[in-house]
Amino acid sequence: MSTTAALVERARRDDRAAFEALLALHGRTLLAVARAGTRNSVDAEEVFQEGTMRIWRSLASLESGDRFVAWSCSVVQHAARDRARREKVRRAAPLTDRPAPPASGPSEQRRRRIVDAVRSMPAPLAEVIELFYFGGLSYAEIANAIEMSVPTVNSRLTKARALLRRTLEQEDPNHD
Amino acid sequence: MTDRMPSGDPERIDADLNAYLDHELAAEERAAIEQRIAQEPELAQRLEDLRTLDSDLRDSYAQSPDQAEAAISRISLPRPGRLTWFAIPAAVAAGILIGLAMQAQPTAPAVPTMLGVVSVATGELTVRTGTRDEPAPGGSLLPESAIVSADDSTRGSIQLTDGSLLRLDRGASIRLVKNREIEVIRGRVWSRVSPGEPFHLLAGETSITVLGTELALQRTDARTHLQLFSGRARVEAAGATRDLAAGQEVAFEKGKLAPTRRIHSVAIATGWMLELHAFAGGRDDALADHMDRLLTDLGRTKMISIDERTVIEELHTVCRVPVARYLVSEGARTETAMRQKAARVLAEIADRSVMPTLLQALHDEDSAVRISTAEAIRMVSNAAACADPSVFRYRNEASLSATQAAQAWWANQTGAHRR
Repeated sequence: MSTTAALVERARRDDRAAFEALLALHGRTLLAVARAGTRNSVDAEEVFQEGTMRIWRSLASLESGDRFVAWSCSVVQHAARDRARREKVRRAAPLTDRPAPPASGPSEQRRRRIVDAVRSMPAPLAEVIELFYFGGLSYAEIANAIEMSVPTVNSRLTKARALLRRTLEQEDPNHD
Repeated sequence: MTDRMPSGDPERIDADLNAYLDHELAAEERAAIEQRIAQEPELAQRLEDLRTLDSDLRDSYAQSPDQAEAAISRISLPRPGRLTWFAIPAAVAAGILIGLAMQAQPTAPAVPTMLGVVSVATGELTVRTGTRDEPAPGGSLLPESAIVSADDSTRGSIQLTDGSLLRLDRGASIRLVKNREIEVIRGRVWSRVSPGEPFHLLAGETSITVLGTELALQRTDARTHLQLFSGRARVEAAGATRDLAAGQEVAFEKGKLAPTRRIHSVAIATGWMLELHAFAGGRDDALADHMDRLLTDLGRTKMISIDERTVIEELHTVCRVPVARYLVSEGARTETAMRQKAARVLAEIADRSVMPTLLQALHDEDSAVRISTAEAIRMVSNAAACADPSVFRYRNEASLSATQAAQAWWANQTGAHRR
C-alpha cells in the first residue's frame, strides 16, 4: 500500500494527523488546481479551503486510496466551478489581487506579467502550467491528477507556453 | 515563429521540444530530437527561446513558495458530529512535505505536537514514544519527545515541521526534544536547518546553537564531533565556547573542547551520506584544501569567460572537474545563473569522473541545477542511477528517494571498482 493510500485509510477513521499529512503531501497540487480555476490568489485560497473541507467530509465515498490525488483534484475543480457560477465574474473581471509591491526592477515586472498572463489563460491551459510549475508535478503525475493522457498534458503545456510567449511579446515586443 | 519552422509536423516538433525541455522524452526520442537540434540551428534557437520562457516561469513561481504553506496552515477541519473546530498550525517545508504541529482547542482532546515525519528510510526506523517502541516506515508521524533510531542497516531522513531536514546514518539515534531542539543520542546525523529561530542540538555535554545552516554531528561514548558546511554555529561545552564558520569543524573529547579547524573536504566529511567512502582515503589536508580552492576558482573563471558550447565541445576534458568543483562550492551559492550554466555543461559532458560532485549537486537549492545534474547522472549511468530527472524539480519524498538510489548505484559502482 502506498503512503498516500495508508494515510487515506487512517484519515477515514477520523485521524486528523493523517489528513494533515495528506495535505502536506498533496496540498500544493490541490492549490495548483485551485489557482488554475480562479482569478487571483485570494479566490484560489478560498476554493482550496472549500475543496479541502469537501474532501475531508466525503473521504468515505472514495473507493480506493490510490485514487486520492485524481479524486481530490476533481473535488477542488468542482469547488472552483461552483464558485465561478455563484459569482459569475470569473474571466470577466479585472484581476483583483492586491496591487503589486513596488517593482524592484524589470525582472519583477516581467514576473508579474507572467503570473497575470497565466491567470488569463483558458483554465485547461492554466491548469497544466500551475501543476507543472507551482505543483512541481511531472507529466505523468499531472496526467494522473487531472485524469488525462500524458500526450494531452504535453500538448496542453506546449500550447500554454506558446500562448504565454505570444502574450508577452504583444505586451512587450522589445523584451529579449 | 513559423518562419523558423523546420521540416516535419510543426505541432509534433513543438510538443517534442517542450517534452525535451521538461526531461519527459524517452531515451530514443531524446536522441532523435538532439540529433535534429544539432543539425538545425532554427530548432536550437527555439529550444533556447523555450528555455528562457521556462526560466522566467520558474522565477515567477519561485516568488511565492510559501503560498501553499500559508494556505494549508489556515485550513481548519470541522470535527464530524461536533461543533468544535480544530486549528492546525501546520508548517510546510521549503519542499513539499511537512508540517503537522497540531494544537487542540481547550475543548478538544489533547493531541501531541507532531514535530516531523519520516520521509525516507532505507529500512525501518524505530520510534519510541513513552515506553513503547514501534516501527516507523516512510510517512510515520513523529511527536514531540519521540526517540527515533536507525538500526545497523538502515539510514533515514526526517522532515521536521519547521522545514529542517535530518538524516540519520546507520546506528544513529535522536530525540525530538521540542520544536527546533534535537538531542543526538548516538551516531552520525546530518542536518539542513531551515532559517528562523535559533536551532539547538544537544549531544551529551555539548550544546550547539545554529541558525539556518548545514552540518553533521557525530556522537560516540568518547567523542562528539561537529562539522559545519554552511552558515554559522556556536558550540558550548565544559565552560568553553567556539564560534564556527562554514567549512570548520570542532570536537569535544576527554572533557575538552578542541580548537576549531578547517574541514579539508566536504565530500569526505559527508561521505557516509553520499556513499562516497571510496574517495575518503589517503589525502593530504593542505594539498586537498589548496586543490579545492584552485579548481573552484578555475571553474568559476571558465563559467564567466567562456561560452557554454565552447566549454562543452572543445574544453570538456580540462573543464569538467573545475566546473564540477565550482558548482558545489560555497562561493557559487549566491550565483544561481552560473550554477545553472555549470550544471548544464556537466549534463552535456556527462563524465563519470565528476560523479561524486554530481551527487552533491542533487542537493542544490535551485531546481534547474538539480534537474540538469540529474540529467548528467542519467547519462553517466545509462539511466541506471536516474531514470527520470524531472523528479528533482522539488525537494520532496520522491527526490530524496531518487537521490538515495543514485548514491546507492554509485556506491555499488565504486565498490565494484575497489574489488
